[in-house]
Amino acid sequence: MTTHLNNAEISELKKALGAMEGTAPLAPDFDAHPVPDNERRRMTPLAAALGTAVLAVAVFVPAMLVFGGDGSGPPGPAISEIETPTVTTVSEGFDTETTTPSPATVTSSVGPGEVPAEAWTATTLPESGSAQGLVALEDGLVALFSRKGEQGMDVWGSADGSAWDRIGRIEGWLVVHDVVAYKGRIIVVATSITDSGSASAPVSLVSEDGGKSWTQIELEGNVGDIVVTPSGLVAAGSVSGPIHPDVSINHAAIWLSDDGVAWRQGAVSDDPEGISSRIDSLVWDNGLNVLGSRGPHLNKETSIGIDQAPDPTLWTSEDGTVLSDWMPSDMVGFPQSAAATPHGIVAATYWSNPQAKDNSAVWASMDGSEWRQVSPETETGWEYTAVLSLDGLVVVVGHSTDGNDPAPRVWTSSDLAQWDSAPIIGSQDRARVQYLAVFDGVLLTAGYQSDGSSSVGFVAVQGDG
Amino acid sequence: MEANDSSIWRKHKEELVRYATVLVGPDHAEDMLSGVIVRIIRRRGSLADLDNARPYLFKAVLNESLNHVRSDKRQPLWAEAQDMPPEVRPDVVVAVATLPERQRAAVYLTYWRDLPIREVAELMDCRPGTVKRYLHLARRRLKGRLER
Repeated sequence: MTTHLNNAEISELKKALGAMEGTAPLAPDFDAHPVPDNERRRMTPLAAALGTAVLAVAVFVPAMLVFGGDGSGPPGPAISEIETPTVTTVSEGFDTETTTPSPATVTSSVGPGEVPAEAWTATTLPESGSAQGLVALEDGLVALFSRKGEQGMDVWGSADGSAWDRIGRIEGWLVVHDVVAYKGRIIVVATSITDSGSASAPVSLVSEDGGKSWTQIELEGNVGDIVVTPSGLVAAGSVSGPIHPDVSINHAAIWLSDDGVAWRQGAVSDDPEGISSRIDSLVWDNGLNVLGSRGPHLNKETSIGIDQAPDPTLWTSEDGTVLSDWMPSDMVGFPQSAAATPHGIVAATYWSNPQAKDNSAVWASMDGSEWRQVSPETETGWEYTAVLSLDGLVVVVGHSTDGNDPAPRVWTSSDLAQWDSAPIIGSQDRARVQYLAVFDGVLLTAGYQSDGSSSVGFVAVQGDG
Repeated sequence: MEANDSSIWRKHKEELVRYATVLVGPDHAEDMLSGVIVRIIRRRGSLADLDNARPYLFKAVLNESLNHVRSDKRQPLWAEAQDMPPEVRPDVVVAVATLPERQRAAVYLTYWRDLPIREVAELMDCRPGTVKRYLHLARRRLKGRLER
């Protein structure tokens, strides 16, 4: 059958297309007249969105002025003053051998009038693979690394962040979500996957001897984040539960523990509209700020999602036993890391957008609902992976996603407007950093370098190590 | 920047609203466009720094429409529910409304907007050959309906 249309068929088709597009009411001009506040709630969604867009521009303009006004990013450092992060190598096996630090080539430096950011010292860990976690204990540090294509993880320990030993191992295919230290224990929450990959289960792994041996505990829900509070540990994620005879949907959920071993159910979100929700990040700030997402909206009659993209959402809770009603968040993306800072909550988010580079940002909010973007770099091409607050400074780590800068970086700021930046490790290969920790008042970060076929992990320490 | 953004938006809003309406229906077109604009502004800071805003906006609208999950049953119900002029055949409207989004976009831009294949390809962010394939598949589905 030919697929060419004759003139009569094309005429019928055009009539149908014209009727279909002509049914749309056109949006009003969004900047024709100022809109009084009491009128704003009556605006069409499109007009309201454009109003938001104008506000967003108003935020971006002063930010760009701060960064130089031409949108090209913060004033760049002069290349003549090159920082040279140092690299220390630990020998394979359980005996530690610290080698002479070797200078690395990093094309970054400091411009006139700026204070040079402190250099970092990186220690590569042979046959370590990708970083899976980093946690500070009372008397040292523990880092987890997994080797490419192999099950299990090596547990590395250090007394000072510079010299590292392989001290233990966790067996099994695991996807690690978070690691914390509490009351002398190390607690890892992860998803355990069978060898065939056909089944998975949420688990916790607990070590009571500093990481040398581990006990696996099955969890009743998918835990994504843990935070230490004055009254104990709070974990959050989601549980599956039916909301419709044919559909099982995740509900945001919280668990509580006094010791990291025994967990009890805390709050579970109850959304009468039948909403799937999950919690991505917990922030303790004299109360819990629970960052997550809500959606898709579900049509209960057809059991079909009517809005595929979940919306960033905020709940609050005093102690994890009761969640507030959900509140919409105007943040974009899902938090990979968040922290309470003197400037409110600061979160690093990521969203899936494989065709574009601009899919990560840093946000700040005083109330958890209204967020402003405070990303250290005004240019795209960076992924921000971890955030913490230390001595009044907000610290962010991340790496280039477009290959323009192989060195992962740390950014620090006291006002979220002006950021100091420093390379973490000199690398000819692609390097990524994923975790931040503080030990004895010093910042550390863990990541890995990859040449495409193999990866080697590293831990970097602020200063000369 | 605000002035530039608003002028860019004014320049393209009518065709974008109509494009969105063909893709997701009149009930969802404005909501979808609002999401598109907010996301662009948040990610880029402005529309003004785009070298060529029009194809970027068209691509964004099509991508966003692909994120709207719809059942095959609901779309023809939307099309049937509209008050169509008497000269328009409802069965043809339903046939167009049930085309996959990319095929529907290609048909709309080619047959209603009368755009050349190369420009359709630019607005859909694909190769001209891909547009031709979408049109071939769409015509094959529409042929039976269009033949009286």
